[in-house]
Amino acid sequence: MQAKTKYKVEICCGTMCYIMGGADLHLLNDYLPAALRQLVSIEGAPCFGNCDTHEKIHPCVRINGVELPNASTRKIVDKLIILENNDLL
Amino acid sequence: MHNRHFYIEAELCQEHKAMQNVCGDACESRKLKEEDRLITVLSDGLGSGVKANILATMTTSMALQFTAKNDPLERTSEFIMKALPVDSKRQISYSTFSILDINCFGDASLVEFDNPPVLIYRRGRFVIPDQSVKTISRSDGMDAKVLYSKVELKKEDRIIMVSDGITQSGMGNIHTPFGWGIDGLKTFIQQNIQSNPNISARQLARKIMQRAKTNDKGSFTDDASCQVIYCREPRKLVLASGPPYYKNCDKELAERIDSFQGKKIICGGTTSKIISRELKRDIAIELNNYKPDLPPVAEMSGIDLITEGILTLGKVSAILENISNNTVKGTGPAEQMVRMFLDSDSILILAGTQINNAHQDPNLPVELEIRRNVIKKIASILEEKFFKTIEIEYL
Ligand code: FES
Repeated sequence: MQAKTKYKVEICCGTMCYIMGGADLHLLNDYLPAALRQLVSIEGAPCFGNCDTHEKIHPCVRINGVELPNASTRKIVDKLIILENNDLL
Repeated sequence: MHNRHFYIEAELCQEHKAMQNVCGDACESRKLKEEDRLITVLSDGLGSGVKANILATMTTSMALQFTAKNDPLERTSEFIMKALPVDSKRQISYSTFSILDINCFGDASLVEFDNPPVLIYRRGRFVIPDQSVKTISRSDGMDAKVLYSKVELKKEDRIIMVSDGITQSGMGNIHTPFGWGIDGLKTFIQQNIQSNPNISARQLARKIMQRAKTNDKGSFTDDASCQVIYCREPRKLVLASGPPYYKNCDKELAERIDSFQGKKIICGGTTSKIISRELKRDIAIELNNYKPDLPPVAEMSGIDLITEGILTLGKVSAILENISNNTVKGTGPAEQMVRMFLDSDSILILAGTQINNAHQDPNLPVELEIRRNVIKKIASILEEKFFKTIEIEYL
């Protein structure tokens, strides 16, 4: 896990994100397309500190440091595919 | 009130005579919290089976009540002997008893009647306290000799109370024609403590029991009970949950946890972040639990367990409420925490009182109880059901 991967996905493991759907994100690895799996590392992170905002942004995820609000497995995978495609262009 | 420098661990191991369904021995302990006092009574009823069990249970509960109310010991013993029903076959009313009463200073008083002697182990040998004998006349005309003694307990002392099922085990064998005997038991205890100086009360009680059973070739010929009391250094644990109300207490919280002697749990994302910031240590979260029913545990050097806050606490409280003995299965964050609680004697809870605004959002799909309430509930279960010493400090 320590080897540097191209994409680092950090999943917020705080209470709010967890109950707002973050629990499902822990299974992200199962949904990654095979081509991406080698390039992505998945980590847990303590609360991002977005909890006090009164907008609906949970669950939160960071991809290479950029936050992705209202994350879902679908959204993360799509985002990763876009990033990867742009890179290949 | 709390003048004692050790914690008292009391564990009982009991088995009934082969072919009987109930044990004719009774042993009961009671902690009087306000007085910081522990009373243990062991009684062996005449015969075996239900009848013996009733005699023994009556004896223990009377002895406990009277002792707790500080009735003079003579009165207690006399009353017990007079109150027991008379056995129709043998025309006597009879059950043995040993009463041990330890006060908040660690002074123990012992009352013994017809049980194998209570053993007090101290640093390799057995202490023999000064005994005084009182004769009590019984309704059947026979005199009963009751022994009284007092001991000042020291840290690392062990007290072993057994019924004669233990000392008489193995009777009739070639090597032990008269049974294992009190001397055999003493040697066994010495050997075991010498080879494992930190042996817990429960382990020692179980070992004695197993050995006695082996003496009896695997099935007891009499009811057997073994109560072990161990005065030892308390196993301490600290649980920090919730951010302090005032920001300037963050540092203090972190330092107290860091310098605490014992096991350490941090419960709550924000709390662990505060401590990580103050102690300048990283938090790592492993995401390898694939059926997560709770957010995963995190790791930080120097801390034994880091979990999420309110959801985990809720589950911990539910587990504690439902378990009936000291064993928990499962490896989830809540189970790990429960196990650590059960393995400790005194638990300090540092409860931060800052309310998490996010949790008070009415749009949340689940209702989150206020952390303080859950903590209070956990504390009271640990105290009342598991006899732990609990201290809660609000920050
Ligand atoms: S719990 Fe995820 S941002 Fe706070």
